[in-house]
Amino acid sequence: MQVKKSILMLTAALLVGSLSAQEPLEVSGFFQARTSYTSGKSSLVATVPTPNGNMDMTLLDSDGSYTTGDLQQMNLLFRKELNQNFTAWVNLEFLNTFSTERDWGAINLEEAWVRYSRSSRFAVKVGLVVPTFNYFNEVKNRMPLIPYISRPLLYEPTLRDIFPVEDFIPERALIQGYGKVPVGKGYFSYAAYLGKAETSYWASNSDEVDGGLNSSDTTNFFLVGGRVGLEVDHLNAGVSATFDKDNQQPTLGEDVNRIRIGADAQVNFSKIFGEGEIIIVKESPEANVDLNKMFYYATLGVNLSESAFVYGNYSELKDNYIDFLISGLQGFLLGAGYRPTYSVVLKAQYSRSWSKGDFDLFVPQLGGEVPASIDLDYNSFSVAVSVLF
Amino acid sequence: MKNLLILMAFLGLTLSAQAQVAVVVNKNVAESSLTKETVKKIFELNQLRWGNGDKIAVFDMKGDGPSKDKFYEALGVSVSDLRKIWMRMQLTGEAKAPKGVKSDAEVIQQVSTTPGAIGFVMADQATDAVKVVLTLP
Repeated sequence: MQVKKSILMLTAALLVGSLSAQEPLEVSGFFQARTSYTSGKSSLVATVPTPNGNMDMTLLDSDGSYTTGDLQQMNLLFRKELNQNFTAWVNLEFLNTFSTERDWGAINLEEAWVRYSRSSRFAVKVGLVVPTFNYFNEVKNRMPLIPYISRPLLYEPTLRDIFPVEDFIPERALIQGYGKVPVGKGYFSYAAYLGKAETSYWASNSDEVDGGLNSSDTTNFFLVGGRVGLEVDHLNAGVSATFDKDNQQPTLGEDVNRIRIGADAQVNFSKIFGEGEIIIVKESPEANVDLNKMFYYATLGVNLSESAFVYGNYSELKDNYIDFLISGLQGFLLGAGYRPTYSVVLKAQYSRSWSKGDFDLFVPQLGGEVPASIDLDYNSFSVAVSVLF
Repeated sequence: MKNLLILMAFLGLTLSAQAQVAVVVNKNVAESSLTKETVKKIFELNQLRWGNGDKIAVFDMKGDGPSKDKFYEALGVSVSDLRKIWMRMQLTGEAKAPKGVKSDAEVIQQVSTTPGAIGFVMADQATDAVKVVLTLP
């Protein structure tokens, strides 16, 4: 009895000691509210054979404009230093004026991990991790940090319905080791990670899964990837790669081996800043189809003062498996920003995205392909305020 | 003429002392001196711990001020670049952004009472409550 009491007291003392050694929970976050005016047109014309010869058939023809305003994004960040070496981090993301009552927007658990680190040379994160792939993947949603209102094509969430983002970049990892090692006057940086298969393999709420589990991945393969980079003075550059499988079960009936290769660079020199990256996706299906993809963007900007900046951005995305993306989707951004304080950024941006090209369109009724042409062109003017709190 | 030269030399020395920035740390920090490169690493959040493994708490000056301008100029970094670095570290959970304080007196007060702290003040504002580990011209 006495021993039990002593153990209990010792446990309580250790627990109290452990809790008192912890730093307080830090709660912070950010949001971006925007107003935008968008106008544009889209048309899709197919040339179909008829008994009287070929005839142009308009399958899509729309144009118009609209003005909108919304709370584009809000993130709540929770950070707690558990002790000298362990840190816990949770990132909750609310999109498009989230409201369950009105069925608006979405809420995502973006990150939840614990990190062990003894020095900047090596750290490991375990949990739900946004993996390091090129420079932009980890910061694409940190709105006060990035100059954009609408992001370069691949990273713009409003375009997610047009092309499969997860085919281009890894979105989730379970464990990541990373660090920075001093080399001469700079640093060698590295990251390596392991994750589940792409999210289209994960069971959703509507799927029936043994045991009633959701978000479970019943495949036997993993995502493996990483990045190596060099930071010297004003330049940070790196190369990235991942190996996993693309879920083509619904369309081709196979899990296709996929390699993503990326290269990125950022430069800050005097008042000039620039960044760019390229992503090449190589897939090797057994079926005779081309699933390869490519994306790149480049941004060049000028810091007019410590608080004001202007920039221009060009991006292009191609997907050989999506008819209207074979000839590519192009995007152009021109923007400016002003930081009255560290925590507030006022932004203005003009954006244009367009695609024009010819391709072969499969028509089920004809059982074959016919020549088609697409013409998309959208322009948007936006203003936004991004606040860190 | 000789008196004028002495006066000019005196004024020059005084102005030079006033223009210097002192990097100060909490007295419990084991390091007795730091190089400019190490201070740059610390303020760029590339070094988050002292040699004995203790965490570094960085203090920055809010707004503009003579010590801030001189400090970052001497380190060869721009405030806007540093802001990006701090915000990236803060928003990805890697580290805390440096805490902003309003005056040299507040830097001295915070650095003297925060274990592992580092900050900067005009050299003539440094007191015995903190340890000066580097003086920048």
